[in-house]
Amino acid sequence: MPAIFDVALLASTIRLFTPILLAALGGMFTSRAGIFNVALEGMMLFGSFFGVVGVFWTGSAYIGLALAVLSATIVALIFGFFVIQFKGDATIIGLAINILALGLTTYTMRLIFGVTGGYYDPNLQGLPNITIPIISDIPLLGQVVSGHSIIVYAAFVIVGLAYIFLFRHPVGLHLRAVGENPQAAGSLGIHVKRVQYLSVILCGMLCGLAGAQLSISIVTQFVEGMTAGRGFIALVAIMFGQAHPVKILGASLLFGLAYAASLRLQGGAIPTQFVAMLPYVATILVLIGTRLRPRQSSTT
Amino acid sequence: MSSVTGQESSNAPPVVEMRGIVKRFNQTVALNGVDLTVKRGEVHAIVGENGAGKSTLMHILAGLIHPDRGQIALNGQPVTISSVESAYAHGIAMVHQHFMLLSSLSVAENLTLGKEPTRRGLFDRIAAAQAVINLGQRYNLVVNHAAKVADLSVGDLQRLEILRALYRGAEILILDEPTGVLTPQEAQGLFRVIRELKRDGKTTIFISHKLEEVLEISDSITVLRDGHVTGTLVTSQTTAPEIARMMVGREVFLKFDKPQITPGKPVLECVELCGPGVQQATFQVRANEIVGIAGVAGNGQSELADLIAGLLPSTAGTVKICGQDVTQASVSARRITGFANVPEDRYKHGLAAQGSVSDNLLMGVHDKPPLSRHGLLDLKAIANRAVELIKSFSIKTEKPASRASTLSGGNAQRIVIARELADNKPFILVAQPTRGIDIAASEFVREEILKRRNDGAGVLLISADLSEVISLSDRILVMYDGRIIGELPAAEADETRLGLLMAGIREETTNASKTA
Amino acid sequence: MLQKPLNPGLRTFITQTLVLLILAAFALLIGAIAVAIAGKSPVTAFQELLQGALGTRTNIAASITRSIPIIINGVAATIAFKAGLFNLGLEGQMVIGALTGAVFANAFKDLPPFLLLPLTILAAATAGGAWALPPAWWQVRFKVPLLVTTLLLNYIANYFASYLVNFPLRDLSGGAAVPQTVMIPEAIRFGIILEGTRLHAGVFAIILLPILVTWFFSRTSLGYRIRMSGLNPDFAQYGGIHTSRMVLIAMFGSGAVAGIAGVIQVLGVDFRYIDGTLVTPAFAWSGFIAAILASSNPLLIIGTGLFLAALKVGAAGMQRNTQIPLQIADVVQAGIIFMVAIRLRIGEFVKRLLFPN
Repeated sequence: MPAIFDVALLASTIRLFTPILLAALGGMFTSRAGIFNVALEGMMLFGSFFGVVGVFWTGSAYIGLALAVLSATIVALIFGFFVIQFKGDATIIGLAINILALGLTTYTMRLIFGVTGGYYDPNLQGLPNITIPIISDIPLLGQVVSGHSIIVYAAFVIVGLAYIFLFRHPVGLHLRAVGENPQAAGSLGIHVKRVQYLSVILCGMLCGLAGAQLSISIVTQFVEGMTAGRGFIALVAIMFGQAHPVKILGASLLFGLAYAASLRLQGGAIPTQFVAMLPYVATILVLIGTRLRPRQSSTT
Repeated sequence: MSSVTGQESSNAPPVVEMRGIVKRFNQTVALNGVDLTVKRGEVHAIVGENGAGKSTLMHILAGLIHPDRGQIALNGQPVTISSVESAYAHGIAMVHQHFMLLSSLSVAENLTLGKEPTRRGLFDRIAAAQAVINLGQRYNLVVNHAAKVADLSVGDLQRLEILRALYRGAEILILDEPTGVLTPQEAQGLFRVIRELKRDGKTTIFISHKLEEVLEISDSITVLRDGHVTGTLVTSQTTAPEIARMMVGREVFLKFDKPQITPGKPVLECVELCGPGVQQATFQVRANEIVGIAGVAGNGQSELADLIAGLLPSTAGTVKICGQDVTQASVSARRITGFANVPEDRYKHGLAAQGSVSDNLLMGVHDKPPLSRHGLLDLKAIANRAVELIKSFSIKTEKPASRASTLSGGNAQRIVIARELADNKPFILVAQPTRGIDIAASEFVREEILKRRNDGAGVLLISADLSEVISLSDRILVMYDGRIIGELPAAEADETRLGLLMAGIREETTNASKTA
Repeated sequence: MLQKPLNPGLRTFITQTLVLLILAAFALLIGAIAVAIAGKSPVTAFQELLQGALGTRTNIAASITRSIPIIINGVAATIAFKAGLFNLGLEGQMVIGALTGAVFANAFKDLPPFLLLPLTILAAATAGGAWALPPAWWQVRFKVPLLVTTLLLNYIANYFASYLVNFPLRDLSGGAAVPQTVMIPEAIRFGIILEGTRLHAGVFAIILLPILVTWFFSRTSLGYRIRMSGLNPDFAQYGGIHTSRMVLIAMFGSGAVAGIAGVIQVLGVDFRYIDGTLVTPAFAWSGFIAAILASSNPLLIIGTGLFLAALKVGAAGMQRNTQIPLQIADVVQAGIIFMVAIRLRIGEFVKRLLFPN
């Protein structure tokens, strides 16, 4: 058995956990505002696709990043429009967003790139890896912490900002109030819909970032349905992290580790299919694990 | 019919004047041309039975909903109250029947929510806490600013709501059924606060359907019925029967023809029954007897009902229904033993609102011949039974296949009553049977319960409506903090004695605390 | 309630018809926009789509053949819907059922066909149902949302099945590049019922299963108990129904029917389990959508399933002739779900427009 835990694994954990973390933070806002959001998956997929499209059109990775965020936010607004304005069933609308994302990205991929399955062009330059001065020279730590895309560093900053926003900012207070009791919040003059739209927009932006990290950061390519359930794993991270930014960070790290381990074990003695299952199995186990404790309080 | 007040008007224009207010919700007209005049500094009661339009009218004044027609003037100036904020800006704040508080937030956060003090863009916790303390001292309404709302008592919650209205600079306070959740003694405390506010020059609008308290606290009264004003009265010049007549449109009977019957064998025996929220409940219900349970909401009544029904697991003690020990039995086993259950929350436990009337009438007997044999339903027998029950319990529905959600609250309750009383079960558990339904349906429901008692059933009646408990019961038990702390024969019960027990004060100490 | 100018039944009918027309128009509009973005003529595209779906006897047969797994999956989704559950794991349950069926048929190929066929279907149903049970159990026991676990289990089922047909169960005889099992005995393969097409005898299931499930939910006590658990679990419990048990039963039933959908593809189309053939065409998702469109009425699923199948087959035809990518069908599908999710609001809007007051 080769050593699984080493510096490279941790570095790849950091890369791979970022999409989960960002999508989960996005979902945290909608969840705190009282909207059950299963559309994280679709919003991310839009981000991934239009990130690549942006790079392809302009040659600029940052414009790709901007387009990723913009497209995911537009989709999030569509989701919000149907859920908040028309009071449609959030689960069904969310699933529809996911189906739309899969269909529309594949459809548009054929139109723009003329290919099916996936698009990869080695000439496309994705987001550069940022070398942090001084820290990058520290052995081990430098390898883990330095040399990631800007999205990775942004994600950590966003955790802090999200915490301050939710628990220290008046609008964050409103958001939590709306999620807990929309009627009460409304009776105090808080604009419930406005706050919910805000949560949806934040969610879209973060999912756009998450999607971009998948498609224009690690490698610059788009693969049909490349989010592969990450939106749902992010949903689990929210549950596991009790919709708290710092706890979500921890939960996402756990799932990132599962992804990294899965990647590492590829080509080893264990058949690839079992290795590929790892993140999903880990997610389900974690999900059950989190609920083991509350069970005891409700005796049967 | 209506006697308009003959009092001379002072030169100052009324603080609130609403004219010709009309509000429709889809097909139903909630308010049909309502006028309301409230004078500065008075306590004005709005009375009427459930569904008369009291809350709707006040929601319009508080900016929660918009009238279809009509004008509002404050201090003689015509205004449009477009939102809650604009109501606040005009000095109007409402304390709702269901407290509009957020249980995961602190008292200080709740007080300031929607108008938070900030420092450098962030929420200023210190200033918020100071606001709680300052306002509390000024109006003698002390609540711990750091506590989580989830940990507060009902009285504290109400004080916090009133503080919040004052924090928002309210000159006009609307209190929606404020005493519904209080013991009579706590209600007295609230009245002291209202008098304090009056001394401070504030105007209070007080929504209620309890006539005694309206007579006690208000200066003038507006009576609503079916979205119309049926009377505008000066409190000192009216009487309870007059108000009641205006509310209902006819004489109200709260006396029931209750023949004396000697109770028979016990149909429910609880011995030292313990469970979540309930401690060592020991009592019996016998055939031909209605046992009432009085208590302030949240003192274990709901849990006791769930323990008896088998919806909550008991931790100690025994329950017997018709002599059979059912402590460990499932809900369906209990039902087969001879137990019917009218639950307190009819839309949570009593009905499937999206199911048909017929589906709803089938619950509990879906495995019982002749309606169901070998797992197959006999649709014809089920339809016949549904039609019969709809007729005999006067359920107003288009057809048995209509969705239960299309029925009014009173008719929805008739479905529950019909289903549970249909099979002559020897023991009937009835919780809050008339909550939120109109007077006609309430009378019907009470008479049906009494009928079953006269026919030999034993009834356990849990109700927050004290007069209902007193008028229907043969014996009354009082619950406080999960325990049964007293028992009175109905003939000896009155609101004062029950009220003290409901506040947790046992008989021995009654005399000492009466003066307080 | 009394002074209505038009009788309420007629009003409802007019409203609902209009809502349906609005839905259809919206779906067309989405499709037209997507086509226009591609720089093609929406009219030509629509003609090609119709032609591809229903233009010839062969095309009609292809649409019907395609509808078989969609409708059966739709019925499976409905069984869970009735219990108030979103079973997003139909795909995995279908895959597990299909693979089990293929393996079972080959393992017992010496049994007489009249025994082997029903047993193969039974094995597939049992396997599909069994695959759906853990998430049901987790929801009941640990309050873990079934919606999430069923979805995640799809990936696990697909990888697991893929492993099996790549290694232990792989047919090495033909040297085929595709991972697949050995072919099932000829005697139990479904026959073609329309000469010159691929429409097979499995088509009877799309009539039979919806009728059976409709009967089950309206005429049996168990069906009633599942329905009530779905409509209001608190009410069901209060009435003495074991709601946890209903969740398990409904999920088993849902998974079993999904398993049948899978094995019917094996028996009627592929004659073996081939890696990925059930996943790529998104039968399970189309079935799920068919169930949503039909408001979980099993009989209506026949119609919505046929419609979605025709849409997909037509889109494939359109792609051949116009180069418009066939995924346009998915886009239109998603658009329809949006509208269906808010159809009550549209209904209110239409009603207010037509019958003010």
